Amino acid sequence: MRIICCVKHVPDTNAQIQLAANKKDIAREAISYVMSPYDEFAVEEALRIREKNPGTTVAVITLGPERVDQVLRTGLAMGADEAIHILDPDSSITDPLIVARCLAQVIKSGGYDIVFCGRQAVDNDAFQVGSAIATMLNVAGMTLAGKVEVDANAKKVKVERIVEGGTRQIISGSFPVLITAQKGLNEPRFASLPGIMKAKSKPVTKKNAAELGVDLNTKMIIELLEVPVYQRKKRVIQAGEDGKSAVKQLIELLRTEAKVLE
Amino acid sequence: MDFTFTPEHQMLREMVKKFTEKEVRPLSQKIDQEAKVPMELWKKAAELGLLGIAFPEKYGGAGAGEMGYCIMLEELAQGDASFTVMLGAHISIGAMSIYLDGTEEQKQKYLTKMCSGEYISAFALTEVNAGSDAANIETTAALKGSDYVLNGTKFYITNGGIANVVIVFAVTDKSLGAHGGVTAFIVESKTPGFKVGRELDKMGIRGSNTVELIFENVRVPKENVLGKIGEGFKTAMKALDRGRLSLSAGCLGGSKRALELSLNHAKQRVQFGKPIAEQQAIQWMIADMAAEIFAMESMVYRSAWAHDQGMRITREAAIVKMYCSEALDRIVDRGVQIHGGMGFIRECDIERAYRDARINRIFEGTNEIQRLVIARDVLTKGAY
Repeated sequence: MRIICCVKHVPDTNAQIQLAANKKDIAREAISYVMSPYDEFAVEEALRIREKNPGTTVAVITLGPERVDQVLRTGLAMGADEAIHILDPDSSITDPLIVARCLAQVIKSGGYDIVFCGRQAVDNDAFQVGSAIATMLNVAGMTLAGKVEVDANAKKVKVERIVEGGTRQIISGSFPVLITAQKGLNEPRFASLPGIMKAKSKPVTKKNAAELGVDLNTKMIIELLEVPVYQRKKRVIQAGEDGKSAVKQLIELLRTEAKVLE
Repeated sequence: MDFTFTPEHQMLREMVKKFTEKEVRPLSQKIDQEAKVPMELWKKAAELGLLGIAFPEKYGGAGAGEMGYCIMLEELAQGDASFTVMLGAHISIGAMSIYLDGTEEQKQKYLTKMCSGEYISAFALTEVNAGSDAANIETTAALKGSDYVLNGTKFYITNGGIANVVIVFAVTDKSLGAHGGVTAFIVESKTPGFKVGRELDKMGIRGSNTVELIFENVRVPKENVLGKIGEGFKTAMKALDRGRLSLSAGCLGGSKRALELSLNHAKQRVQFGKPIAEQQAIQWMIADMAAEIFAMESMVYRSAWAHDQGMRITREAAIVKMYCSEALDRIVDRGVQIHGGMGFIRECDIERAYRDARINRIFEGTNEIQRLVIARDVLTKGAY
């Protein structure tokens, strides 16, 4: 079985984000990056499937400038067998459609049984790449997986989806499939120290996005980024003589306005 | 000059940071209160390969060098000082003694199991009357047939009560003194006559196991002599040289954590209508902390790099140990001051950091000994 995991190098969720001078991107200098957390679930699941199915290989793939090599190293350190880096030297590809197009092209050329993606990348939250790749590959797009069962002999996958309100939906499909990972799918492992040291000698294939033979003309551009301005709201409810009605009012406001109570 | 870390070292830092945040730091208060590191945590560190970090792959290590080792201890020290000391004693002086002077058989037999975490190791040099003055060792080892028979008592032994293997320094020829008269032995704790005495109740690093070890006619086979007969003191000094640097990396981590705790508090604590972080008195303390941390970081990694390049760093290790342990003490002291009354309360993290810091000026050679080492080196070899 061959599994490919699409991963993305995103700013550390703890990083202090500031805007770049042109207000179309964030200031990229001096921020630390991590593998997008949902992608970590994806890689972990792929590794678990490999552990249960000897002979399986796991590849990690990403698109971006030289810097994103690091996210592939992380995947390799966790245990992936190989990595593919689609180079976009000056980070010019920002449209999720083009990203998906490049990834799909490379995935298709290498052969695969299961493609894993995170449900979303936690930087731009576009939620598009996974589904777009499934469409381009013309395979079942099994999104928001909370549990995955693979029957390698029958070449079938059963996926438990967690949908609105926690409802579970069970779906199944035949290889090849694309699965997007949801929180709760598993508990991602730490890259072990020997894993980190071994990652150095694992193969990383570099391909240039411009040489894939796909249309890189963007259909969407980022016009503006704005950071939210938070205003602290303060409201005082006068208790007066009758505390009871004030409490009632407070509960009602916590429910309807602050939305912290159900 | 290139001050960047390799991608492997960066990944190693990320991994240990995550491990620290998720598995170590949440237990820190409990480790202090119960004066015990849960073995579960040791096992988790072993599974990640952390215990073999400084040793070559052929012994089950990771071969991450002194640089990798320092990075690991810096990160772990931001989680818990006791656990850091437990690992530090095991790796820097216990396992390291075997790595530095052991035979290939000894390395295969013991070092591999120390890398995997199956064995915990300890290093028993200090005695009631022999600390900095190692020539005063009273524990004896007498050759009887094919065994050495050990008798004596060791004191302040980190990991002593939980170790499977202890490196014990004993007198084999009293007339020769420290150089020539002291020999190192690899002693398995299951050997008859090996007794764990009382556990010492400490001010800080309370979770680290510190005990008295008693040897009553402990028979150690000849093949467990570590290094050459009479050269135990050299083994001890080489291991301690290494330990001084990694200990300093722990001081660096502890300092970063203390600054972080202080910043969090200073930004939240409002007095006179504004966060105390806006008061110049607090800002000066923060500036001093940041400057000292920068100095610590610079000297720790420069020296680790030099070591990995094969340079001798005896003077540097002594300087780094002296400076970092003293800077850490100043930093936690300011940290408590910034926290005010809260910093004096047991449940507050900075209070624990303050107590945990103090030992660093004492163990692995007191800072007075470090100054002697530095001064002698400067006086004989010239300044710079």
